[in-house]
Amino acid sequence: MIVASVGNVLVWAVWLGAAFACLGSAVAVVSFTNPFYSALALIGNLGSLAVLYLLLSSEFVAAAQVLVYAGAVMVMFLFVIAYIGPRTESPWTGGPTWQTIGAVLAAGAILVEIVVAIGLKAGGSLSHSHHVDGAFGTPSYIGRLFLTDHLLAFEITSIVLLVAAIGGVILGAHSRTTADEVPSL
Amino acid sequence: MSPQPLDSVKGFAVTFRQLFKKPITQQYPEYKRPVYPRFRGRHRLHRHENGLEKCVGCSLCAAACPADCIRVVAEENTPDNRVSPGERYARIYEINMSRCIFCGYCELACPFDAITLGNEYEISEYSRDDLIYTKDMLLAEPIKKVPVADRDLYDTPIPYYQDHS
Amino acid sequence: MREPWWISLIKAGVIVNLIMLAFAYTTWLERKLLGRMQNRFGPNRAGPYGLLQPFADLIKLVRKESFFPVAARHPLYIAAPIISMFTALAAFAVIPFGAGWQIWHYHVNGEIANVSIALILIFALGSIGVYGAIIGGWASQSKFSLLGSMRTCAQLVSYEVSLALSVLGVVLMGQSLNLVDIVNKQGATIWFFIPQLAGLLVFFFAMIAETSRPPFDLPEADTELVAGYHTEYGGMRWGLFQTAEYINLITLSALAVTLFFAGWHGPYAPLGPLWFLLKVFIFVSVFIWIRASVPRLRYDQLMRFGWKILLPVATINAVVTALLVVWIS
Repeated sequence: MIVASVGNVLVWAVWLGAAFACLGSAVAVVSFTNPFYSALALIGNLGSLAVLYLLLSSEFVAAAQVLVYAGAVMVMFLFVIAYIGPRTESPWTGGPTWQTIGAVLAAGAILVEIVVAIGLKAGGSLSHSHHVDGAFGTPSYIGRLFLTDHLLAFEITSIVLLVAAIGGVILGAHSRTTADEVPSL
Repeated sequence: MSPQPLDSVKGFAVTFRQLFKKPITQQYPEYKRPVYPRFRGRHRLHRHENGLEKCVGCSLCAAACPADCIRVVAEENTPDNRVSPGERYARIYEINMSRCIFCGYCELACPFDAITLGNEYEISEYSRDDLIYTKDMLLAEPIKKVPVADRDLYDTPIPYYQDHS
Repeated sequence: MREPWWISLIKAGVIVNLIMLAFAYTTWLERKLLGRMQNRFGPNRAGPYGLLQPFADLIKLVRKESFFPVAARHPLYIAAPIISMFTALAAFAVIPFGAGWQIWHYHVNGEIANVSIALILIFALGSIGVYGAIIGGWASQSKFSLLGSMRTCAQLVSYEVSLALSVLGVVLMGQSLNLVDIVNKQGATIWFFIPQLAGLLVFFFAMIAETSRPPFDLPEADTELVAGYHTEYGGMRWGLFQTAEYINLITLSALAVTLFFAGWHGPYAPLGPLWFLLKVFIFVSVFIWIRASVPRLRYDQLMRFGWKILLPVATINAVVTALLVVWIS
């Protein structure tokens, strides 16, 4: 059982590393004055989240997280930030009061949730009814869930994304006045 | 896409065919391609047949040089130290080869055909100081000879200084 | 099949070194083939047939002074080539190169890591690799580098979409994202390049663009634009970017072989890794052949080709394949 305990220690070490990297990079996102560094910290945050997903044996979600968020979305962020140039944002200097109130309320809600979850866990009310099987988190398992139990949410999300894409194209196409500006291929 | 798709494919055939042809590269250090007889390379200073230097230290070459790479310091000939047939001779004659552009103006400017441009082009050195050629080096026969193409194949006039001296 | 963790570790070490060697000789092969296609010799001074040329290049690059711009953002400037290099090397971990062997009484798998999401992992690593270019360009604090990295980034992101969509047909036919499963399926049925010819073509073109090889080498258009995101890099830092590019070429060639040409399958099964090597070699040679034959595209042509030709073809291919797979089964 030595091997198993070594494995356990490794899982704990990775979890600790990923969790602290997650928190640290999240703090870094809001505390850097240079938006480029903030975006890089956000990539680190998404990457450490992916590691946490991996520890929960959902490989597909982890890979999709890296591919879609860290890989594609954040590239766009960096792209725009690098284009805008070296202008640095001044740190937050107070905004509308309703934003402050909303932020404090949301933070309080999350705190309450965490406390409740920890309390329930400690009280034994959150025990798993069945063990996680080997297929959990594999692409086919997730695909089946998407097309059976969660079909409605999946389809609505895809339609929303489609609308967003069309909207983006329309907004972007407005700036070009004539279509024949670009030489043909 | 491409207006002539077939022609694009033909290009691939062309490049592929070259794989089986012998390269036309000349392997330089082993094979030295003969230079033209009038190729302008490393300078030489010449002597008269009686051993006296042709250069009289007039500095016309230095004046003509567009790269300002020639340095001449002249001194009077004395009866017991006669170096050139004229009144003066070049005590120092230096060419900075790292500046020279091998235009041949010095050759044209020289009234006594004392300086000419030879055919040698292998004049690389490891240090810039070694590229400053002194009078002794320029008077001596060059060490690194290069092959020169047959003079008769080209319309090469016999140089004046070889005809009359 | 499970194997002890230390076997994976040894295998990873061996494979990484083999890839580096393969990279070294890919540069040699490229220069040699390009030379012969242009009636030149190519490198022939260092060792017989110039075979020591890659090592001479390595020594030269390592010994070069590693200067950097005064304004460069240091940690990022140094990290950028490392990111590129890491993602390029890591992607090879999931590519199967053999059937697996029984060595002494240990079972050795024909791949470093057999994961169920291998294909997505490769694309995820590829998308992380883009950061090498964008961070390198930004951290140099030079306009040429920045614009070069924008160019690179736009190209890579655009073609990644087509690249990912083009393999969807293979995933549907192989019914797995696991490369080992896909290879075995092809060994049992048919090599996927026959039913997935459109997918292969789209993958092939997108792959040329992803590895920024001519005629899509706008990221480093040596002859007309300033060298791109690595303008301010020199010595082995530049060498790492270049290494990453070539290793990406090898990895994507290996991926194409795996997805469309049945990986290590061939007429005589025990020769598996050799078949795999041969197929990758042919792919790499074709890339070099293309470089020798086709002029570079203009940037707008590149973008149009990616979004208006490759992407629709890849999408239609995926949809048709999905319909056919459902209809047949």
